[in-house]
Amino acid sequence: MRLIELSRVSLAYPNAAEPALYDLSLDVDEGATLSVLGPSGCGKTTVLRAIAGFEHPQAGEIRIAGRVVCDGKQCVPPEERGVGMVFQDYALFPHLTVTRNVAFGLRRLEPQAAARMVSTTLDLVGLTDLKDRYPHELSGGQQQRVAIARALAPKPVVLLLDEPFSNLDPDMRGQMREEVQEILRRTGITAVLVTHDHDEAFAMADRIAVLNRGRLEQIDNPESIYHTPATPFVANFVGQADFLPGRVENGKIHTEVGVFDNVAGHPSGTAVEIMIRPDDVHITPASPGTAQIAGRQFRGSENLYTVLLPSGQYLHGSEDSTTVHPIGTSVEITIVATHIVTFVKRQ
Amino acid sequence: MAQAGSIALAGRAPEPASGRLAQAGTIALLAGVGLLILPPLLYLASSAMQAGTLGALSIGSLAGLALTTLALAGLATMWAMALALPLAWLVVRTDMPFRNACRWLAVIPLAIPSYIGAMAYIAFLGPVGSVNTWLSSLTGSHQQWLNIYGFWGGVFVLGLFTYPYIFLLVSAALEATNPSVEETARSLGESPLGVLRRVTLPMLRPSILAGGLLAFLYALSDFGSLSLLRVQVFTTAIYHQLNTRFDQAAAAMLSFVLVLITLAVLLSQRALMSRRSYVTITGTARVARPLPLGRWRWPAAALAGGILSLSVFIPLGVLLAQTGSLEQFTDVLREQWAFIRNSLALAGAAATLAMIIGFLIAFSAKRAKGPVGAAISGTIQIGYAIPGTVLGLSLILLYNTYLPWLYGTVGILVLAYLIRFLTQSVQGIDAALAGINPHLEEAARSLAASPATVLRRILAPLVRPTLFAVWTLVFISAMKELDATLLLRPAGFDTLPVRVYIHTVEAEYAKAGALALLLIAFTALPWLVVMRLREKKLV
Repeated sequence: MRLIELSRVSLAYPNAAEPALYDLSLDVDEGATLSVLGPSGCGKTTVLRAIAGFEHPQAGEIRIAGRVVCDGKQCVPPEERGVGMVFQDYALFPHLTVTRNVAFGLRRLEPQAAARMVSTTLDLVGLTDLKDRYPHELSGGQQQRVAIARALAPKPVVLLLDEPFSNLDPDMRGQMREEVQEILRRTGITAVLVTHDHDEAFAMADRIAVLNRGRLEQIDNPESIYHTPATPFVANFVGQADFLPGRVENGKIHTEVGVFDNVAGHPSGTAVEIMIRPDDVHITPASPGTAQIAGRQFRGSENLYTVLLPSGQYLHGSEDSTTVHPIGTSVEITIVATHIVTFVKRQ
Repeated sequence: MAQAGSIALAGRAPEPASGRLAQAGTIALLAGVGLLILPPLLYLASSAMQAGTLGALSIGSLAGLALTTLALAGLATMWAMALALPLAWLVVRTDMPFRNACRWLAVIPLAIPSYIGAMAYIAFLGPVGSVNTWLSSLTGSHQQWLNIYGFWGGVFVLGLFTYPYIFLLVSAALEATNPSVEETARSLGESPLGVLRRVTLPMLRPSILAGGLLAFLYALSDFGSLSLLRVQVFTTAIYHQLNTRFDQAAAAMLSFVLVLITLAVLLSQRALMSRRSYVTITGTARVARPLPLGRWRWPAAALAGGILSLSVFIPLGVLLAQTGSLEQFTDVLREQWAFIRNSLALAGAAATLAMIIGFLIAFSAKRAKGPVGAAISGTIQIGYAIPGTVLGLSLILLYNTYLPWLYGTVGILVLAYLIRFLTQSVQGIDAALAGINPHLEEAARSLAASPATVLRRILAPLVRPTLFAVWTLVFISAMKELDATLLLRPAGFDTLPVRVYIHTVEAEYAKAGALALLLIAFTALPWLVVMRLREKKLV
């Protein structure tokens, strides 16, 4: 069942040159995690705030659990939407202890039921020992867990997370990512997570919506987003990608590193670009070879090579971390692409 | 040698001979500050003890005085809060019309010393004030319709001219409040009103308390306005004992009790604040969107207009009306020129000294760190917390006995201003020094600059804007000072505030009004200049 539906939503801030969201449609299934991914200023946080009810789109419709909460004219206020929000800066109430922060949204419950709910939720996020502390007495990761517990306690229909890991130290980030994933799995809650980090989106989401300048570029599962990006923007944003020029002739795409199937069915004679990911590239030393190693970045688990092709074009290829080719080595390039992604050549 | 030291003590700041010299300087400075502030107070205490029996004062009258003083300060503070809180919220958080104008108008009362406010309201609502005269001419009866004199008049005037302290702190806190905290409360099911009650107000509590404390201490220590309004509180009773009954022992006793009350208030505030140490409002780049007031927009503006009328428009209007024509104004200035010159010279000297000494103290305290620095700033703050009347009395007692040549000179006035206002300078410069990235100093040291060079070439240029601001602040405070000046001035050496006070007592409102306007200009203009330059990043 679709729990959250945005259809043709447009939203412009006053005095802004461009709309923050333009004709945006997307949906989230019940129990699924959607990641909204994009560079800063692409409107991804606005999507979240519109779902929560803090921003009012001028056009389009938002439904939560089948109920229209916004139709471009009338908007249901945030307190009547039943959404849980976790802010980037956690936004803990500084004057309340952990327990009272978590209990904040439980006022309609009987005191005993509320206390039970608080202790179950604190248990879930592993904060029972710290329940009497004030927010400033907690570390960043603990503050974040309080924020999540507070949002989860009133049993919201959906949990909205705005860049939840960006305020954490890098070494905490991976750990919290796993913890949050586990919390989402155990509660089975529907979640929308906004991030600019594609690794985070890949790791956490069932589906990813890539946004650029307020417009939806693609919405799909993580594998498809990576392997078969719908636009050059998506291809570039979710990982390293090179675009090699090619031409369609006799039903095949001819490039300087080989011939590929014309999967997209471009008409003959079209000038296209084919997307090459570093893991599709295989490098073998050869003398004389057609290409040359121009640079190497050691990345621990792999070596990322920059290879200079005869035409002067650069291509990136990854090899395992023990395979070392000195700069200047003459090499031969083979491309083994499981997914062939082509775009009509941009001007 | 210094180089060898820095290699041997890698990671620690080298402290060669120059360091020890600086240490000695710090200690000398601390001793100087201590000698400046503590002896008058200690002598006051011993005088009070020597009085032994209460003499002319009974326990009952002392308790009654304490009760009146506390009640007046408490009610004035509540009145100030009732003015400040709605105004701050309307100005910062709503789409009320004219909110930007209201924002800067709301702090104008800070430039109006409370005794000038009292003077204006006496001329407006006093027995022969404009309103009563007008009502009498309207009805033909010579009944006194309104009376500003007395307890409630004191509460009314003090609240009106101290609310900006609360307004400034609360509106700043409201602005710094992270909007996502309030949004979270909305998404957890609170209505906008519930958010105000359960989240916004509790988060503002520290600022409300801090601002309220400033207003309360002001009311507790105020002499000028309460004396003009004929209210019997500690400060006015001290003055009465000293100047009418010439009973120094009784005055010392009263002063001592007032100091104890002030200290008790300060200590309880410290205890209260330390328990609520959550006062961490994280700032964000995002500004909360103003709440649309709908059909309440204009009623809200009317409320703000009412508050500003009472605290700004009416007092200034009365002063202008009393002053009369420009010709009358210049006549008064010509006649009183000597006193104006006295005020300017005195305030200028005090400000310059406070700036220089303040910089040295702040710099030494920063280097001394730990208990020494805390002791210095604590001692200086005592000077600020002593009511002006009490300070005047303690200086009279001490210097009349031990340094009679200083007593009765202008020097003792400068001394009194330093004791009262040094903390403004020290705290301002302290904050500026603390705001300087310590890496700058360390980088300079690593580039072989000596501590003295760091002070001269790095720290002094960086705090120069603050020095300018601090000078202005002390200048303004000294220009306005009435309570201690009234007791300490050498015979014939009057200042602007003293003249305003005397003319008001003698019901010469035209002269008082003209001088009051001049005084307000002298305090408001320098501050406007500083603000302007600060906006343009020139200081």
